[in-house]
Amino acid sequence: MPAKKVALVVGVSALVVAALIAVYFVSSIREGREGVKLVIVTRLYPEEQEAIRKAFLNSSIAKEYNIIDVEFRKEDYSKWAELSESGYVDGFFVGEKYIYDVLCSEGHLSSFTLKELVDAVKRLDRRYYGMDSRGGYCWVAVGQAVYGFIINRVFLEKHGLQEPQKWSDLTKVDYLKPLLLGESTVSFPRPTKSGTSRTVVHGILQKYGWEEGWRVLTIIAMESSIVDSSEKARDEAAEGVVAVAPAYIGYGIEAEKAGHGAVFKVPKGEGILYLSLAAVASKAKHPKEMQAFILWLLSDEGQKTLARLFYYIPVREDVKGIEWVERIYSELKNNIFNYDRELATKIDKAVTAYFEAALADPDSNMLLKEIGRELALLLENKKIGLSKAHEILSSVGKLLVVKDPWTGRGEEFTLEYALSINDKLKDKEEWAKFYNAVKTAAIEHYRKILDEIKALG
Amino acid sequence: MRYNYPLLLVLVLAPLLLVVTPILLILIDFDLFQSLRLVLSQPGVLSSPTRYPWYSVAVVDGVKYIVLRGPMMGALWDSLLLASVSALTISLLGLLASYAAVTHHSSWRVWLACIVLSLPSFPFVDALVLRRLLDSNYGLTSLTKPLGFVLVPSGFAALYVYEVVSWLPLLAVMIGAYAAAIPREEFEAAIQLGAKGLSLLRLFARLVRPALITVYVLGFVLVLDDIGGPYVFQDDPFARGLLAFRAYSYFIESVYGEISLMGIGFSMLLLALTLLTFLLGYKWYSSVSEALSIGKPGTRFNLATKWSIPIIVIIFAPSLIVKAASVAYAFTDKWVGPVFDVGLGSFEEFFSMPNMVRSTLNSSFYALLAVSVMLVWGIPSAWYVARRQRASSIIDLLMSLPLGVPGIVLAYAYFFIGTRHLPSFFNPLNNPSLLLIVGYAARRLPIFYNGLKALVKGVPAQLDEAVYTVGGKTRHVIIRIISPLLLARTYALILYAFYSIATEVSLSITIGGLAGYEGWGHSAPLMYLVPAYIGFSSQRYGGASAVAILFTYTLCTIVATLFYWAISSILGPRRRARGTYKSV
Repeated sequence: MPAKKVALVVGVSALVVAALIAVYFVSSIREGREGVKLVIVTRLYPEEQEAIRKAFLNSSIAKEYNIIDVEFRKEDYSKWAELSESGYVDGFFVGEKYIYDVLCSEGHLSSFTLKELVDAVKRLDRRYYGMDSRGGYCWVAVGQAVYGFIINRVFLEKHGLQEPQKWSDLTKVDYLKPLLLGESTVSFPRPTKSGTSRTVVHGILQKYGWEEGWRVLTIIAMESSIVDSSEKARDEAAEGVVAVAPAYIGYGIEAEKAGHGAVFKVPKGEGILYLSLAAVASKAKHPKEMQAFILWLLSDEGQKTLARLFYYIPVREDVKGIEWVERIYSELKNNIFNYDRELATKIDKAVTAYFEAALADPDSNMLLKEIGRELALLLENKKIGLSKAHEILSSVGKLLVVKDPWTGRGEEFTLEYALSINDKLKDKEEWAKFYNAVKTAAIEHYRKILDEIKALG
Repeated sequence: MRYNYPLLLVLVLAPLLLVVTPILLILIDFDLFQSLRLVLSQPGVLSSPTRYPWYSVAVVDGVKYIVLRGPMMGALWDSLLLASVSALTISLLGLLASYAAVTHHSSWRVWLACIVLSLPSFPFVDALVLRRLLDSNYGLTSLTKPLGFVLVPSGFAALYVYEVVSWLPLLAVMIGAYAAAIPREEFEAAIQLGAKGLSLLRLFARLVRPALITVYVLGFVLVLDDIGGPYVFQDDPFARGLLAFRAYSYFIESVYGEISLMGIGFSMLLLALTLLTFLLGYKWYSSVSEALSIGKPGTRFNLATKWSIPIIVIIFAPSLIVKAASVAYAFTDKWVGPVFDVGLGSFEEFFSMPNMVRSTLNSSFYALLAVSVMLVWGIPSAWYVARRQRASSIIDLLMSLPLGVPGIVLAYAYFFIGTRHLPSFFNPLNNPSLLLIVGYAARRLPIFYNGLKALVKGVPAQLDEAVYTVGGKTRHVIIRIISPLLLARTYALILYAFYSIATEVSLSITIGGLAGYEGWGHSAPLMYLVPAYIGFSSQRYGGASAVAILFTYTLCTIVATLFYWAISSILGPRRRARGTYKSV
């Protein structure tokens, strides 16, 4: 090839590459140029993030505070404390009250300083905001919604199962039948990964009492495929891979829209109203603008947007004009019970560690499934009756006696014990020790029961 | 023989600095003994408490559901067994397909077509697709219902099917390429002596034994390191128990805080297993690497039977079906249960997501830079080793070493040095791009380098000597002689490198999105967004993810072609290079 042509090729290639690189980098730094970009950690999924982002960026408050973009990051709760201190994020939006309480008590949240926001918070009912030790407002609720479950009728019909009305209905032996086909009746997210799961676990413990609650949870775990997110659980129920999945109303309606037999229900008398919160990170780069975002969430426009997008009930009593939301919730009124958030906060670490080790861990869960499958087989072959099956299920779900990793003594996992160890479990290594101790006890217990069941066959 | 000590130093230091040192730093900073003790003392790691039956049968409405699970023996043994059984199956199927392929030109062409069509990987999407195809209610497995039975693979069995279907095309290439280059004489002598059928196959297996062992070793390492399959099949306890998935879970939980000792323990256990396997198989891998030139005319035996082509098609059918379904998924509005609505809804969804579109650009861009690094790093190394200069065996080992390092281990190592030992510019929490580019280059270099090495061996050493005789230096040999001659034949290699980097999973899913992945300006690669969105909603984003991967392949093809054209023009006229090569 002549030298001129080579030079031309080199020149054109260099220009194209340079232009591509320039476009790439210019587009990367576009956002930082002329205004503020907020980075907010959330539990919303992308479509919801985009909807709220668009609505906010079009608002007068965003323009007033020169906020040109909002980046939402969906992150595990386990990362929130470190994220708050990292300087990479400005605040938090949506997620469990317990998480915000812990962040607030450990100093990972900045208290509100923006006058308009402080005034707006002062006007709210006391249950809608949290205060730090210095008397500052460290979080505020911007809406509330309900937790229930998604039920897939196609799955139920295939297995000839009745529609559960309450969580405890799932303890009936009929729901073990899908295990024989290698399927699961429920899709249940891990409580350390999902706020929905965490609240439902606490809700069941409070509604049924500590001992009976763990029995119900154990049997549900036996029938469950354990997943890492409430989105995956929702999808499995929407698609008919399972019959039941815990969900908040927004995800429930999303599953219904998939059109494959899924409906959202609030379990009779077991609906839990949850608060959806917002807060400012302790090392936020833009604390003022983050507060402006929260102020917008509490504005008329913000409250109506949340109702429209996520089926939230406004926390401000003076916001009117969204009757359809009020109608839905007035119908639910009798299905909702008084969920004690303070108690849940006090025992959360212990409850989630116990759930993860005894019920969700791959080995523990597989053993539970083996027990469930053996029971279903015995029933099918009429080797045992219903009462014997229920008796066995009861014994599976009884509270474990765990070898306390700090004293070496055997301790039954009572409510008092959970309260006493909860704070210790904030340390990751201590959590791991307790996890191993619970898992060991669970495996021993389940194996013993399994041997008894096999002897019956 | 001339000694190039400065070059030797650079070639030794590069892999040491980019791969070995970050891992060593972890070992120094953390108590390895304590972390391994924590891992091995956890119940369920060394032995499984469950005796769940390998298979069971249940009858519903007169249909027998045969549930195939396979064993559960503890996380360590499950991972090892899955890796070894999958690798063994891949090796045997690859052997059979290659045997059928080399029997005749027509079967070779069918083999090549099967490989080319099933080679492009659709990470996460293909696992999602396979899951649906295996669904006992509406998947392909349910088609046997009228016959009165349905096979339901789950646990070990489901993962085993996934791993074999995923890795077979890539690894079968090696056996086929090696088989195409084996000498005819022994085989023909055997035929003349009356050998046929199984005895011929046995002879063929003996002749391609180095390739078989290599495929087994690489298959073992790839399956042990795989996160994509367990990620999609995570609702089964077996998948969640595998070592790579456990290491990944601990990594995700400790990104912003203290790095978990359990995570380090699982990673190091994984590293020990893969490295040991790789080192044991290194001798064979090294000898096979030179035969990796697909499509090169090679040995054909004119032995074709009516079974040759059907055997090849049957062996590749599952991979082809999964790939076809993955592509078809892109042309759906939605896929929920058995409902498969054809339409362009997934394209609309994809183009309405600026962050997903951006991630395809990011991945193509990272591939471009990583391939540039690979060329700059790979060509001198290939030349140095091919010419058997001093310590070339050490360099060869170091260049191949990343094959034995699981991606998740490299992710831990890069995350660790990026957040603790390097300036904040390299911190993946601010900017993962640089670490990704280096990591991609390091991970994909071994195969690329081996391809280059085989090509360098085809260039007579007299050409090098001629340069030295007229006063040239080593750099002149590499830039003026070797590079142009190599580049004339590396288009396929470059294209493959682009594809494999753009769809790399382990580094992408771990450190790729740590600086955020929203909006247009983010730096996350495609393989961070695809699992994230499939996790958010596989129904909504499964199709869009398939479109994103197709779009990335298209982008990569364009960029790789332009890149190849540009560097060929810069380093030497392609035609002349090709002419020189041929005349040589």
